[in-house]
Amino acid sequence: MSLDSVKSKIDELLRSLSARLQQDMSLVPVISKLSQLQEAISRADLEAIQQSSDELERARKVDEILSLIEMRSKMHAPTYIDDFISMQPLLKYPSKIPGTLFESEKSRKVVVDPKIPGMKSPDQVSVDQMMSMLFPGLLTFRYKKLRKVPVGRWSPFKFRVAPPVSAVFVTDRDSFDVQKDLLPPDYPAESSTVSVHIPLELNLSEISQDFVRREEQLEEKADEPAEAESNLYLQLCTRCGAVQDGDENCGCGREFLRYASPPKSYSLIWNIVGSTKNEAIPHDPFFGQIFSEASFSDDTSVKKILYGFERRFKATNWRIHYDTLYGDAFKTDGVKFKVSGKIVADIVQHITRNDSLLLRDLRILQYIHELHRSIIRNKYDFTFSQSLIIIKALMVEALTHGTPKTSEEVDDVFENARKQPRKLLEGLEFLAKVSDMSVPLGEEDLVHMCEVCVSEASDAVKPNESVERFVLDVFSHSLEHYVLTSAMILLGVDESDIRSHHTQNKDELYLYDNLPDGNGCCETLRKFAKVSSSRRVSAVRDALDKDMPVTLPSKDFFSILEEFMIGCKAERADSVYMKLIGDRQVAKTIQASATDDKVRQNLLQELRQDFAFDDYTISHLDALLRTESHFHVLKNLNAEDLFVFKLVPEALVMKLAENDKLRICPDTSVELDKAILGKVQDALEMCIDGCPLCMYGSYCEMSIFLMKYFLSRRLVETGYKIVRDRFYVDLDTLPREKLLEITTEMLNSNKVLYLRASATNMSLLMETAFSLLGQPVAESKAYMKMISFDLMREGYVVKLEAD
Amino acid sequence: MRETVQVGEDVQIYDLSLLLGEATKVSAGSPGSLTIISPWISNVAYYLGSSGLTVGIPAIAFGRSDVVRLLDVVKYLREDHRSQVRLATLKPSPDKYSNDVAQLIWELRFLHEASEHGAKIYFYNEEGDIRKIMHPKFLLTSLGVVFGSFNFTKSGRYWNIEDGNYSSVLSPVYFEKKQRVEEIVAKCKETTLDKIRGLLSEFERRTQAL
Repeated sequence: MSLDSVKSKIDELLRSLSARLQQDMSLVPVISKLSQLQEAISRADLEAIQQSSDELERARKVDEILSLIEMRSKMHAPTYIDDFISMQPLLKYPSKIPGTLFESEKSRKVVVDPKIPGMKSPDQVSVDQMMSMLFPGLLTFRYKKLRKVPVGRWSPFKFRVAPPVSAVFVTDRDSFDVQKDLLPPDYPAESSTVSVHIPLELNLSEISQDFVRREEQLEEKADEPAEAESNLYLQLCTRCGAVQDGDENCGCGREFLRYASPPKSYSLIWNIVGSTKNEAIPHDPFFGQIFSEASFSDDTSVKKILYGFERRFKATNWRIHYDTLYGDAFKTDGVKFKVSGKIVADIVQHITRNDSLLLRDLRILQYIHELHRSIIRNKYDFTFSQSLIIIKALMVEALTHGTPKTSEEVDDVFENARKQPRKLLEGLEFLAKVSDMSVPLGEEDLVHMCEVCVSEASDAVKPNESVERFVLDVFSHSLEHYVLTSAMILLGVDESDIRSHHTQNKDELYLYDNLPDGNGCCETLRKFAKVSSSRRVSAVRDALDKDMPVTLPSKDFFSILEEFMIGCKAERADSVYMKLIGDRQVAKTIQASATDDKVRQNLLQELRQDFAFDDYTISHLDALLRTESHFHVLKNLNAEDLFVFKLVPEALVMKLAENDKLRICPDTSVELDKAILGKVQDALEMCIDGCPLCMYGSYCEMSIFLMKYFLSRRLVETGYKIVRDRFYVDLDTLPREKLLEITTEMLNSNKVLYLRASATNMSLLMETAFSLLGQPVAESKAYMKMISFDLMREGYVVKLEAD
Repeated sequence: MRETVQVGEDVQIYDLSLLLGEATKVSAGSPGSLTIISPWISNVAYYLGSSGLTVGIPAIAFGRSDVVRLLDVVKYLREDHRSQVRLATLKPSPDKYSNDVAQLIWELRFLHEASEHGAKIYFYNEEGDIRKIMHPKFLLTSLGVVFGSFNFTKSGRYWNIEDGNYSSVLSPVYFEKKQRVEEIVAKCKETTLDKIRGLLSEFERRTQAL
């Protein structure tokens, strides 16, 4: 309380006591004392008191600094400026320089009270950790005993829950509103604007021992325990997914309960990102064709919303939505990339004309998405995995008649399903033979759903513009994962520091610092997006002059991104393997090499010599050759059909001959097909069709089950090649006398040039490249940026760029 | 198209491009060719990333590390025994580095290792009474030549203010410089591994005595 307010309080008291004086004379000494006090306060020099208080504080800090110096000098230890900054008299509060560039202490923390008697202070977690603690899937031993955020009851009909008021502390002040149409399409918002609450405190509750069983405490029944991953078991409702832990409960009935390891649950986090005041980042001639805009903004707004979780138990899964949305909103630094409309149009045109297999595979993905959307729209409450089972069932039956080779043939598969919806049931029956799967609908409902939803999906897929829209989405989403990974490599950070975002149906991608006000990631990215040769040269010279390590990253952001886009190295090894097993003579050697080390080493040695493979490719091939089951699975497959069978591995299991099945799983006699499915899936985990496995991220807003069906390396690699072809000169096809003229002209007009030649023309390629080295291009000079060789793909490629 | 282009502080980029270009040829089965003439010479380090150059030739393993040293390239070129690597420098003597014996030992160790891998080492000797020293600097490969005032040392390539030019194999200047390189090499005397080893031992002894 300030002196002014004390003074006014005394005035008020004096007034009120004086009014009562006539009735009560005993108040006289009180009023007298108060008057003295009032006078003393009036005499006080408030400014001087304030100043002396400040001076005292400064003197105290100076004293601290002096004692620190004294102490350090006694100990013969050096003192550093950081030590004094924290005690700087002019700073209002102790501040500290972060230990590293990207470690900031500004992160908002959520208080976690685990309710442990005797625990002195509650734990604090970052917002991201809070998100993962809040969704009720997380049973944690972090606080010694098994604890969780309470959920309460949920309904199997609505699949919605809300933590009880006692579990999450929020205030009205700390919330933000979001328009319904900005939320995930499947979130059942009840009004046009939804409030998102920022949790300030989480209260955990202990899972009582009464509900937990150890392995030895369980009755010995043939079907129990299921999924024994740990020796801890809880009762789980196989109908709605609620864990009967004394907190979650459902009314489904005891017949659905069974003891199982705690099921895996995955939080559903939705992001809304936007930016203003954008400033262009340095231009790259190649990526200028892919991104029509790349800009930095220190006014990037981020909203993170936890809207539910997905729970998995064996083949069953449930998506549960929160009634109350929780999250966080902040402003930070970000980089925005706008995907060029022209490149998307060019990709569509290119694959329509030249790559019917990629078009086919994208068509299948498009059907998967449209069918899932239709299923949600028609309120069937399916998770994405359940919609995928429907697609698989429709395809598994069709695949018994042959693999579709074109997008039209994919259309035929779904057209047939529309005409004969009962085929879905046959497909489900097929699937049930080789895998555990469950769809939460009866037969007639399934047939009806198939009739309605397949029709809707087909109608949505057919229009030409829908293809372009889908390609934009998949391409942009894939690029988002590419740029995030490249940024993390450049900056040496992980997803706790920097995140990415892509809004469906939009051409914008964002990278943003995962911290209010920024943590330096995007700012640094802007600096090193494109590093010119002159800057590199002077940085090296400066570093040597000052005898310091080179401070520039060895590659700039766009170089790292390009290296990713060129193609996956593992894919080369996988492609070689598929080609080798297609050759009858070599196939025999491959089969023998799984068990005979000498045969395998000889084969690898030959491959290394003949195809100039690097160590990475050789070691990848070595791993493939060692696994005998891969051979027996993959010899039954055309490489071009890999994508289709990766989606529906059950169809390949059915195609396998009995002999092969026994070779794949020689020790299994019970449920052979189900055991084989695992081996088939392993063998199909190949990078051959541009599998997006290495592009996965933990924080994709599409959720982990959905995102891989919305990513395509092949599409990105195709986009890369289309752009590169604009700057590409194939020396094998060009008349020698025009070579220099054409290449110089291209370099001058585009500022970037790719020279390619087969191994036989390598000398010509090198001579041409070296004749362009250093040549003036407008205000700059041409430098070599890349020399590469790949016998299996394009031979030699040299990239030159005006720099 | 210019017959020669100006090279300044970016000499390291031209050097590295030429050295890796020659290595690429070797990786493809053609013999390499590298001649360096420099009065003072050392195992210069190049910062691959800092040159902005990415090398994706599977066989060139050293191209994947961030620092490429001249000796890495020499060794790689000599993996093909037909490759010719020639290094010509002033004959090592106590006053070559103004009595800095440590510098001289570094140079000799580099030459010794290069020689062990089959590089031909040439020393230039003073002629008669007139004090003449070999002073030009060349880096010549089958793809181009860098010439100018830069010594093939850390100071020459990174520190000093120097000047020079680059010509590619398609320029007539390249052939003039190639001829000049041959003339200078002809004036030098090829030395042997044993002689370099002897010099190295002698100077190492002197350092220990100090």
